[in-house]
Amino acid sequence: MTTTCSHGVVSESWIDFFARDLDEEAGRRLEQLLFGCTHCAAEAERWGAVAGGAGMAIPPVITTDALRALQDRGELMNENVMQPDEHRRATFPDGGRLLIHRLRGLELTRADRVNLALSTPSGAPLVRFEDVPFDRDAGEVIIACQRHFGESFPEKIVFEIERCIVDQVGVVATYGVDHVY
Amino acid sequence: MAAAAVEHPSNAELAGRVQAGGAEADAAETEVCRRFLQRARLYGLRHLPSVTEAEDLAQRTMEIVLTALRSGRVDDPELLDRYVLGVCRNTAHAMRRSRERTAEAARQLALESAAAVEQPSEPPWGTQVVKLLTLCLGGLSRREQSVVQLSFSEWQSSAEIAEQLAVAPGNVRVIRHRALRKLRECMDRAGATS
Repeated sequence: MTTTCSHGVVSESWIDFFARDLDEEAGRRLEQLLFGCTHCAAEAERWGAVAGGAGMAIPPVITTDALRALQDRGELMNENVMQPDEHRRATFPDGGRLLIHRLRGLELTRADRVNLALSTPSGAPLVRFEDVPFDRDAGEVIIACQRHFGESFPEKIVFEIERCIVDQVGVVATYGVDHVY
Repeated sequence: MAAAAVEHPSNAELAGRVQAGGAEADAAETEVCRRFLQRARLYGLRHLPSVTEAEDLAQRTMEIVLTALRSGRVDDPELLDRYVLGVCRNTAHAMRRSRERTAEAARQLALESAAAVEQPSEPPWGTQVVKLLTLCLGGLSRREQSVVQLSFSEWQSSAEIAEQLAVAPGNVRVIRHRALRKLRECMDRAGATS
């Protein structure tokens, strides 16, 4: 939904503002409103938190390129490489926030989309991510498990990979992980 | 009415209290920071290459503004908001020049520039916002995630993103608008941006 402030600034303009996608005149107008209008500043702050926070956040499922970028910037991480039906205990690095699960052994060459479902070992669903990034050639899905996930999820988690080919959806592999925070 | 005036002093009233010093000056300085620090951060987010530098800009700006207020060097205190914006512009310009000079010196010395920009340990919007956004990002499509990451982590232009994802630049904007609205809705459901 598009919302407006008292100066008629639509949400899309604040998004363009933080994406640096406005011409100079429009950008200067919004800068003046940011400093001179309390209502505008509040709206800008909400969009700024989303834009700036999203830039700092690491998505739960990442591409091979994104993993390489994290490694390049020196993120401390442990890697846990798994094959289908494996059950593994995996530990976060001391002082690090990332535990990378490399879910391999997947036949994804014909996949249109891949979904990821998390559940407990007893089968209780936790969360489901649709249309996640995957490496078609390597047959891999990379999960960037983050220390703070421990506040929302149990230690023992089953990852279920669904492959979608046209309108046919089927589970192709499961992986069990006991997280050690 | 009197109570409201005390709780929401005008910029000129705040400037006067800061310049006067004494018991009320500390509270007035705190209010100046509350009013403008976050706005300076947001300005920096638009103009500088990282959240770390945006935070640095905000801190430097507030130091300059408070110093100017204490010594009565703000010509028209009622227009304090424009003064702060001007300080932000000048400070950001100085920071960009400094970075360019450092990069040029490194180039001349044939040094490799730093591979990545350091991220602050504590995000200015609070750790909880970033934690929630991590999960909210999982609700975006692959393409939406890519546009968000390329826009706000790597600060690529719409044209650069369009080329990388093989879509029209106009579509990049549409995808970005949709993605951020989804993230904001996800955050609002969690009560994090209201």
